[in-house]
Amino acid sequence: MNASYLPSDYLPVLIQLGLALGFIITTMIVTHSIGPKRKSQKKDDPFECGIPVEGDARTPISIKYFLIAILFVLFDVEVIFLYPWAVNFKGLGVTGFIEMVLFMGLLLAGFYYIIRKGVLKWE
Amino acid sequence: MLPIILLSVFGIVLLFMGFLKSKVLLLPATLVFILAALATTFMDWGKTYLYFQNMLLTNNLAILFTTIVLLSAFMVVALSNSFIEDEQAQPAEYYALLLFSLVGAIMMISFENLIMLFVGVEILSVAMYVLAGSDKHSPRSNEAALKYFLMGAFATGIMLFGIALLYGATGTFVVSGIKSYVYTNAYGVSLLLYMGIILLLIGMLFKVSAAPFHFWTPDVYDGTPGLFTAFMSTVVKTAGFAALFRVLSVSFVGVYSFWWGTLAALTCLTLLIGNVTAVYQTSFKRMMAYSSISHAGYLLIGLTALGTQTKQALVFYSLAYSLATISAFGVLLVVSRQRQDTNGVNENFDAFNGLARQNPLLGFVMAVSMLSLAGIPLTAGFWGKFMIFTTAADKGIYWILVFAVLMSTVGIYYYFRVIIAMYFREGAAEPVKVAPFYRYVLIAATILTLVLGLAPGLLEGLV
Amino acid sequence: MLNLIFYAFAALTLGGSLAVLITRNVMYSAFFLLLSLIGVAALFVLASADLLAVAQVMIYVGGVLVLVIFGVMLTHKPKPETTTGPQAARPNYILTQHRAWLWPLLVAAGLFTAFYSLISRIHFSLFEHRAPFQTSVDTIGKQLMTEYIIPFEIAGILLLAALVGATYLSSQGDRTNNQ
Repeated sequence: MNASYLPSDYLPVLIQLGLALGFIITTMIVTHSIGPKRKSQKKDDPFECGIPVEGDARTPISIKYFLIAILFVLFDVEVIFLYPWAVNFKGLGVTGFIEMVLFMGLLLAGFYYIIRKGVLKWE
Repeated sequence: MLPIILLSVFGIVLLFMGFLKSKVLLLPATLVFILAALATTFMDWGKTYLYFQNMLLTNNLAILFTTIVLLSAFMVVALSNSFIEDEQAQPAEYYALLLFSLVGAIMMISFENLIMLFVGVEILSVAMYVLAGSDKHSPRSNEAALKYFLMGAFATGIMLFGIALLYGATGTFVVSGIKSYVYTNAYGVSLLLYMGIILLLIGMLFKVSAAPFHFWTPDVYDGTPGLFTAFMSTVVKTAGFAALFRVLSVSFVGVYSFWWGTLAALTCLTLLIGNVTAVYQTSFKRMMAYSSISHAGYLLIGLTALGTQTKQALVFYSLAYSLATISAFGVLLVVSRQRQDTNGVNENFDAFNGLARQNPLLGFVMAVSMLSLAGIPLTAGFWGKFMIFTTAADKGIYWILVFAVLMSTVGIYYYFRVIIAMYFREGAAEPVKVAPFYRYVLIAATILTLVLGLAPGLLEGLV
Repeated sequence: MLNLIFYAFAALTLGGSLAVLITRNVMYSAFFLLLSLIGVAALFVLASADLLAVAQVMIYVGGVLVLVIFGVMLTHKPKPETTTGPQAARPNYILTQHRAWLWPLLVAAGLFTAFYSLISRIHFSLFEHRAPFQTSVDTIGKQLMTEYIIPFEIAGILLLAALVGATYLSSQGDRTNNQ
């Protein structure tokens, strides 16, 4: 594997970024400028299967979502640690594998705990 | 480093014991686990070992600090029998978090690599944030958790920045490596090192609640459930001072002239704010919060006057302070729960009115612990203060000595308010009920305080 | 070219952070924080710390920011009578209350002076020779699994403690906290 990169090696990424941004911006500008505009009470109303809109879409959400988000961040951090280990998987050998199993074991213990606790149960 | 591994495993075991039907087993299991960790701590007695590729270093000093921390934790857990009856409480989680936080505390005590210090501080803090908010129905507890978390996370960030700058200056995280860097570059130390020292000190002084980084302390100590306040003010403080001592006495002793003036000024500020503000409190728990600030000030004297006597003084003072604090909180817990007023638990001074007449034992325990905190002779606290003041006298910093003696006379005033309330005021007629095991723990702490007060030489020569 | 990219991303970071401070709407602050965090990730790439950049994007942009936005959505809207004007009817319109400028400005100015004088007086030994970009994942992986294995495993304990704590604090919270 080539381990050293020159700045020019990142040029394709930049081109890709430019293309993606350019496409979005162009489409947005073009649709806004060439499309016809008709405004009325009925047209601006959000469409919800024919039922009249009731209340606000962005009411405070259940704390369950927040807990799921916290758990997501925690496991996210764990996954980050997996990456440098996986790159060196062969070089680290059995010792590295055991060490990682231990680390994963700690987190899986936590995972088992939250399942037993019924956190992921949805009612 | 067997205790760290053991406590981690035990914490997970406790977590899953919470799924058992009966909660009766949890308390004795936790006590046995802490005792097992304490026993394995002494395996390295008399030797100096480096563990895990220079990550941790155990010596007699680290073992003594670990012993103080584990002993405090043992007593706090032993006083926690009320969880078993409480329907809302989840003791398995509490005990597991306590054991995890002990892992962090031991790492803070015996770190050799600054990364270990950081991870240790993090574990201890995360567990304490949760325990501070463990009374989910009380707005005060929620407030305490939120305040502690926001301020604590900020302080940890500053500390991490300091560690990064230290690495930038010296190219190493190892405590003794920084020491050799300071000695080899005695005249041209990088400016990054000074900035790193300042930031690291700010982070650590926040954790031990020294002024001017003490603003969180009263509200957090007040809002946290009493048992965890006792844990916070003993274990966190002891571990924090052990970490400060290690980093100052090993790494930064070569640049003593740079930091001692700042530290001396902060010491005086801490003593002043802690003692003077404690006088105006009506709540006993809040008074204990300010008293813990003032005791951080006394411990800081030992660090300011860093010398050969410092470690002995720090160990003795931490032990005396922990014993007295835990027995004071132990009495407060039963009294406040059984003498409720209109606002729920009564944690004011008047809750203790007439306690000595109805419950002579509780009164005596409280009196001894207050005398010890005030530093009256025949208690451990007196010898703790004496040793701390001796270090300052050895170093020739007499002005700080005079100031500290002045401040401890202020301290006598507010500690004696409790004793006066207990012995000379009329109070509730019926005595407070105390469980037998609870009583034994309080008696043991009191006896230890008195024994150390009568024979302070017991700990001499250990470090 | 490289300098240009650096200045662009530094401007993104600083502009984002400044906007976080200036805007009064908490939701907008969260989105400006996104810009700032992405800018920092890009600066990590330019400092050839690629793993750090990936971690920054995954954890902060992908995780922590979601938490922040969830936090805003969980927060109760102030009642219509407390705020006035047509904007009060808009969803998630939570304004920050604290408007004191003097002290933060003084502290920030002091810190800026301290760090600026520090950086301008330090001699960075690696400043002269510019190394080609080199991936740091290999080295980090090896170090993490050998020299720093204990902090790594203990980080597992830390994550476990955080997990237990989060579960404890927010379980049944919807019944007790909504007062």
